[in-house]
Amino acid sequence: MIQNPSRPSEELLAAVTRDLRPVRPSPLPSRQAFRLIPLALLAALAVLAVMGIRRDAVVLGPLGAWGFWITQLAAGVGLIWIAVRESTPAHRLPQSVVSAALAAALLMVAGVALWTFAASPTVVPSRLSAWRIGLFCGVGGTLAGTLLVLLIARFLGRSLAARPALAGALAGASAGIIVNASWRLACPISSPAHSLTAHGAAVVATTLLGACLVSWMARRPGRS
Amino acid sequence: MGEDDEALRILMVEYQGGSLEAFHGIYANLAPALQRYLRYLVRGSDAADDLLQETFLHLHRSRAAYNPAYAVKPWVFGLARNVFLMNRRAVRRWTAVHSPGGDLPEVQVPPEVDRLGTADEIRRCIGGLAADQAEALLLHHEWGFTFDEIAGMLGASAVAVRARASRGMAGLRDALNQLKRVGP
Repeated sequence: MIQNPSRPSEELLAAVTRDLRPVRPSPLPSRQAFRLIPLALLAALAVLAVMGIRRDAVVLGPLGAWGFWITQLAAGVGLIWIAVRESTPAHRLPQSVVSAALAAALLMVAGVALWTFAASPTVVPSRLSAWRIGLFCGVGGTLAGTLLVLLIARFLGRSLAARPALAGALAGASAGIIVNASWRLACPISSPAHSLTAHGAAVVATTLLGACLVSWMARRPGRS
Repeated sequence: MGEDDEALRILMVEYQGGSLEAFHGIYANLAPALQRYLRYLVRGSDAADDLLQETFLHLHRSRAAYNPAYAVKPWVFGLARNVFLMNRRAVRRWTAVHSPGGDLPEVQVPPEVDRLGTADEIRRCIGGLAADQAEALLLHHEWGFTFDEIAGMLGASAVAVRARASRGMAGLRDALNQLKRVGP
């Protein structure tokens, strides 16, 4: 039987009348992403403040050090913009654009890591365990990324994405890339074996965490 | 933004300001078309009625997520589609939707083909189209969305959506011509 669609059901009407407090309209996705820039900057600077800057930063030059740092932050904020678009009904970007942007951002991180090694090839000193250093960077980067992804997910709390896992993965990748921007400038080891596995693992972990977190938030009853 | 959508936009802003009357206005304006769309998505199942209520419940909970710069109708239709996809029960039905040949609920017949067959034949032929082509075709021809709006709803490019609708229309014409040749 087709319900008469011209009148809302009593349950719906009760839910609406129960909470009719005025709300402030959301800003546009570009403005939402723009608003997250201070948070991204703060997170990236916090990593540098805690870890310090690598001794050979001068060898990398201003472009290699700070130019790529800013580029990675911009890529992270760009991914947040895409995540917000993905979460806005009828404003999704084409799937191919989303995939290409995500792939390009991750490739850029790998490219910057390889460039850093080419400019200043530093490896794990033989007296230290490469495995332990890798674990430190992987876990540390993941923890820092987790804090940022929690904040971004809270910001995206009103996500209405058809594919919340994708929106979350974008937000997670964004957090991972923003943290990685500073981690690369802090970590004294630039060998690809270390940066691509340990630092890369942190980016992948925050991406997965973002996907799980936003999916979970989307499944919660009464989400808003 | 058309005149209708401008009126809806004003209602939406009033609704965000706490007006129950505005909610009723939005519901009365959008519910019939939304119900038809949801019935199309769930292949005529009664689940469409539940999804309609759920869509408006999501709309209510997420009313702050609407920005007055958005056209209301595509935003709400996009929300309905997301609700449909998120609904576990409906997702299982989605599998059935993607198997061609299922019953198609009542949808209006696109005027471009209404002379090529009876309404029932046309509906049956639309039901035989690939799901992505049928959806693009109906969103454009029945619900009047632009290809840009459909692209935003489906997460595809406007060019791809236009191609889907065009292929759908060509497929529909072929199917109707074939039906004529076979005869009653």
